[in-house]
Amino acid sequence: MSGTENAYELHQVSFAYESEQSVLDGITLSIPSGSWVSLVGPNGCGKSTLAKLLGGLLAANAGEVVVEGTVLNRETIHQIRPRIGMVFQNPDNQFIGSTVEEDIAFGLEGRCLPREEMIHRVRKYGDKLEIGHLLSKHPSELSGGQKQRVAVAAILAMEPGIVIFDEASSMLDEKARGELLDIIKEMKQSGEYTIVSITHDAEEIMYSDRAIVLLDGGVAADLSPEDLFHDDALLQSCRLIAPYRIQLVRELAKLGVQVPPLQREEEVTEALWQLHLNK
Amino acid sequence: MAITLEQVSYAYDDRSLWRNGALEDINLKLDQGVFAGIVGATGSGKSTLLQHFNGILKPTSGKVQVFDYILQAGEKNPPLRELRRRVGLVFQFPEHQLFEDTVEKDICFGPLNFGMSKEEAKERTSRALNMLGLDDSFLSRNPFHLSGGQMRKVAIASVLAMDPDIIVLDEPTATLDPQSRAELAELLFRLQRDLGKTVIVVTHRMEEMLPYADTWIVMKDGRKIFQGSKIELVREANTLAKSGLSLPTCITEWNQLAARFGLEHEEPCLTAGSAAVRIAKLLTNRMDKDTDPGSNSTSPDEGGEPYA
Repeated sequence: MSGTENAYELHQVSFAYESEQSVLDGITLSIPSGSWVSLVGPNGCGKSTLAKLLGGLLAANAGEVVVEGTVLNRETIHQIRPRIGMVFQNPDNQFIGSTVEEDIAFGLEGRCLPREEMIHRVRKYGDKLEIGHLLSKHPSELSGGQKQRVAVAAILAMEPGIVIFDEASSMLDEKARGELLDIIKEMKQSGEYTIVSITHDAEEIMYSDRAIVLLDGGVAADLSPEDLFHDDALLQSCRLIAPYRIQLVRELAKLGVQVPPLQREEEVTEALWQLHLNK
Repeated sequence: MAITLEQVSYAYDDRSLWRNGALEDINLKLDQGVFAGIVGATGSGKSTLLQHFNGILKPTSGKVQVFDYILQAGEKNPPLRELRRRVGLVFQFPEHQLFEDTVEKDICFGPLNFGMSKEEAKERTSRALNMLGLDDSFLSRNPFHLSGGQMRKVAIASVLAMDPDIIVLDEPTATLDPQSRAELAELLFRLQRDLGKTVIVVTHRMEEMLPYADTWIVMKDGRKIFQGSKIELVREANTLAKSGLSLPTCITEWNQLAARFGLEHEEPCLTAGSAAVRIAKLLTNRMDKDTDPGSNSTSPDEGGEPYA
């Protein structure tokens, strides 16, 4: 896929489960190939529904979803679907095999790949996600974080160009969530994937290229994570809370203490200490 | 004392080849009216511990006392019905327990089951729902057509509707949006402060409960490795981190600041607002000192006023 192409183009997309209550209304947006987009908004704003439309699991009632230049419809779905992988919220609900190995192979079997290729991919992506030592394990022997790694490995083994994470880290503990974030960062760096992540996680949003804010079934804003976390009204309306370090820097600014702009991982403490020494 | 555990151990499949020890020799006392946070890695025994609080699990050795109810290994349980009303347990993923076709029926089920009149059950339902920030228009809706976060709130309301004295929640905030999480933490705090409820919360996100929880318990491999106040928790943070506890940014940030600026003996400032005020004060103090020609101190300020 060429870098200039859009992975997604949505034109006036609407959707309703029941005709009287529309969940999404007139969504227009585009997502360039190779980018990492966070989809944010309060509970019940239609994020997961949009994810399902993007993944081709639901069909729009009106409007057009264009995936990598092809309009998504009944005729094209079979050709588009293999390009898209989805990772869902609950690690327990997406385990199909009775071992990790089987689980990763399941999707590959569906693709009718030759046995050698399947073995190769299970090993390759098992190692990539650092679950190579777990291949013979039953899901009940795995932690939530490990199960999510298996889910990601199973998806990546199918070699999709687009991966959609639907609150994939929200049921994980702090440590596992950090690990999943590292995996997504690596995916982004490889340049092989377009990543759409539905998330409430401030840290994760900070690392993405762009945040699309959904409110009441429509796109309320489309902006950089930095701009999002500096827009109080928007944060309030999409019920997000800024990362702690940004909050601290902003609170300090209110009190007249200007900390020089920080890179994502730079320490506030050091900046303040320098300020302290220089005063 | 609301809850007392004496040398409690619990093993799944006890006396079988697959014996799987989940709790080892736990001693625990929780006073009535506390707000307690329980943290620990996945598989450390947090959920198993919670299920001892209303007699779902019975210790395989040791003794559990909740109010006047005593559950002891090897002895017959007292009748547990009233205990189960007084100790409301919100499981992990409570939305899995929804089963009725309207929100109202679902929440009424508990109160009716414990013998309340229909009117009372309905009134409590509406009150509990409002506490969670959902209005009465939700009463007639099908719980399965709600969003994940709304389902979670309905499920929590169904436990609150029984008006328990002790509310125990297992990861109540996972999957809620950040502000809903903050609101739920605040609601629990109000239940504790205004209505005198005892609140016990298992959480993976310590920062959410830090402003409210006055007692912290850290579990590891089925053992209690720490119980203490928030201040003690922050002081022990590095040791606890070494044994695998992941710390929220507000604690690591404060500890870095404290180490840099020599504030270790102060009350920790764990919100961005309070930490900013404390730091601003340090920096301005320093400026004042610099205007004083006699001062060439390079040591960090000491004895600053503690900020909560």
